[in-house]
Amino acid sequence: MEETIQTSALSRNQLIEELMTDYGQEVLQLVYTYVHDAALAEDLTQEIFIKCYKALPSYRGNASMKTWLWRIAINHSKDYIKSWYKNNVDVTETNVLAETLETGNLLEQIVQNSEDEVLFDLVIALPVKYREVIYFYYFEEYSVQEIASILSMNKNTVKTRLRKARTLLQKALGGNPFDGNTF
Amino acid sequence: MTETRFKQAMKNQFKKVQFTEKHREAIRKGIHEEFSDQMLLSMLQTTRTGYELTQLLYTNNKQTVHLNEGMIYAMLHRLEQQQLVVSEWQENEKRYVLSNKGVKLLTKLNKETQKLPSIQQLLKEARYAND
Repeated sequence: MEETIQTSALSRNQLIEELMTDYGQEVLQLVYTYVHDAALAEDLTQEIFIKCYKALPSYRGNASMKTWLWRIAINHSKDYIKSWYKNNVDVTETNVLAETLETGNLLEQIVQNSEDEVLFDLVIALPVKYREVIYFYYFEEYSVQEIASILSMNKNTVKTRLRKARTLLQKALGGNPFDGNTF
Repeated sequence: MTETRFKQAMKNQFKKVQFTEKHREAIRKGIHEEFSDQMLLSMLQTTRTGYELTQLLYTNNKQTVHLNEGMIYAMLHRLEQQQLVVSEWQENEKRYVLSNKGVKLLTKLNKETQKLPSIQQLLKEARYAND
């Protein structure tokens, strides 16, 4: 039995090494878009890979390994955000960012020099449900179908959220950052 | 602003976070702890003293030689607090053995370990997904 554990641990270690090489940076970036704090994103990423090691035996190969890892990363990030909100934020305040975006006041509040940072901050300021679809669609360039699969939701929900997210960004920027793009 | 412009903006911001060797090392350490727990639990199916465990781990397992006696006692203490292990004093020696909760956890872990798909299959899958 001890031998079985050892053999399996060796294979799992090998696999985790490969996953870290192939996806370490991407997972870290993804987590960063959720939590927008570099040090925290690093901690969560480490936890995600350890979680992944623990969960490997239950991987059934239904989803691709990347999708499977993405789901672990997304759930872990969201769980963190949820518990953070629960501990730190009054429920009545949770929609402040969304409302701020809708009234277009956010640009005034962000004192940044570079246009890049403004755009990134706007994306980060979007509620999580819009932020994640924007990240996957425009940055990772996944199809609506792929996003629906990763986030375990309906295709139409993904489309609706993308549309809403673009409207929010458009209002805040006073122009469409994704002009000419359809999905 | 075009879509490419947007992607570029994201990319520039992501330069603030870099996945480095430091992170890999921290992950390896965390994994080692997970692994050592399972190893220790499997050895405690029989009643043993901390000293016996140290000897066993040292002689049998390449992956656990980094564990010194102090670390093993610390692990035993933690496992006891988690009620996975119980202890009793016999002839001036503290002896440890799995609790019912510990047996259940070990059975679950072993089951999962056996169900693990072959490494070749997983690596193939990982590579395929990366294409």
